[in-house]
Amino acid sequence: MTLSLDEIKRYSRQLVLPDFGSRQQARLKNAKVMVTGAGGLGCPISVYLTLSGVGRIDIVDMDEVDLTNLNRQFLYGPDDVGKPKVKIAARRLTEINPEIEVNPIVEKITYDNAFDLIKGYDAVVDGTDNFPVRYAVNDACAVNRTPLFHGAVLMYEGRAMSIIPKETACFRCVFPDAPPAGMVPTCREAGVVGSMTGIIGSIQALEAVRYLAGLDIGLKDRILILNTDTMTFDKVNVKRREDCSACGDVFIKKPVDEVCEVRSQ
Amino acid sequence: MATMRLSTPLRKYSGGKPEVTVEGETLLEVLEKFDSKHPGFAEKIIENGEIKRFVNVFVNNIDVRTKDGLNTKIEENDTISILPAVSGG
Repeated sequence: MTLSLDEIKRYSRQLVLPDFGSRQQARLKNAKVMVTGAGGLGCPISVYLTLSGVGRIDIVDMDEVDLTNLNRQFLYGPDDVGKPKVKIAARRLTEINPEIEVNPIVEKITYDNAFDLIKGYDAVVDGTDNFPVRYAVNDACAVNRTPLFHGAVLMYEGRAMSIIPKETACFRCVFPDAPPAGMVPTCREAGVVGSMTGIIGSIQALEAVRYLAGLDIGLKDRILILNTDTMTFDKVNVKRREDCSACGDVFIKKPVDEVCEVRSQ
Repeated sequence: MATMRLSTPLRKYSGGKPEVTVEGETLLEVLEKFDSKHPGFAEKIIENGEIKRFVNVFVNNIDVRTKDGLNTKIEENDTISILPAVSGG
């Protein structure tokens, strides 16, 4: 796939990078990526994938814009309250970069539909906000062997890791089970500021873009932990579990009980 | 003295501090000593003598499950990081 003159100009600031050229840009143009969630993480993720020139982006979320979203979800404004997030997001992203295709999918991801929904993508970037959906996305990516770029935030702490199924540790290798309800608060309960989701979502998008372009990525078998109380970035090493129920030798369905789901608006 | 870094959901046991200095020869001893001053802490991390499946403990950025688990020796200047799963987005 060749690049048009407009595309060469649009992407010129990344095309001049020493390890990035028209071949890498064409790889991005050919890529099909799913963004799960159009919230605090989903906004920076989808914006940076759009700006980088990922050819097709499908965004899944069933929520409507709420006034409480507007401290961090910068694709929306007060006039969008009550409207489906993914439709507003897709329209805005297409305005930002008309060279790419953005598809809104108004759907709730569940353990039952995730395996079909997340099929045929070159990568998934996860911006969901609760354990049942996160484990569904992880397990579906493990079974379908789709690279998954994970990120999560809570208050002033953020995390990111990149998962290449069967090659690197998946979310379930690291956390085989979800915490019981009430153990870990959600953003709605504990709070989050916009720049936190902005930083972590941007890191997820960057890892995905580098991976899709064929460049090395730094968060395989590692969790990046951002602690903004002390403004430290730590990386801890994690390992695949041979007996992982998602990416191990034998796949075992392990849906996480919806009871522990508390939506972070 | 070693340093223990606490993830956000556990900071109610450290008065909100992201990191504290701790003492103990092994990880278990460190957790128990900290628990004696901040009751309820250890039970958030340990269940039936093992680290819970939704918590990870790292010593100098290495998962203790790949070392000696709760019996992992803690040396002077080690950094212990305790990481429960979080899901916010």
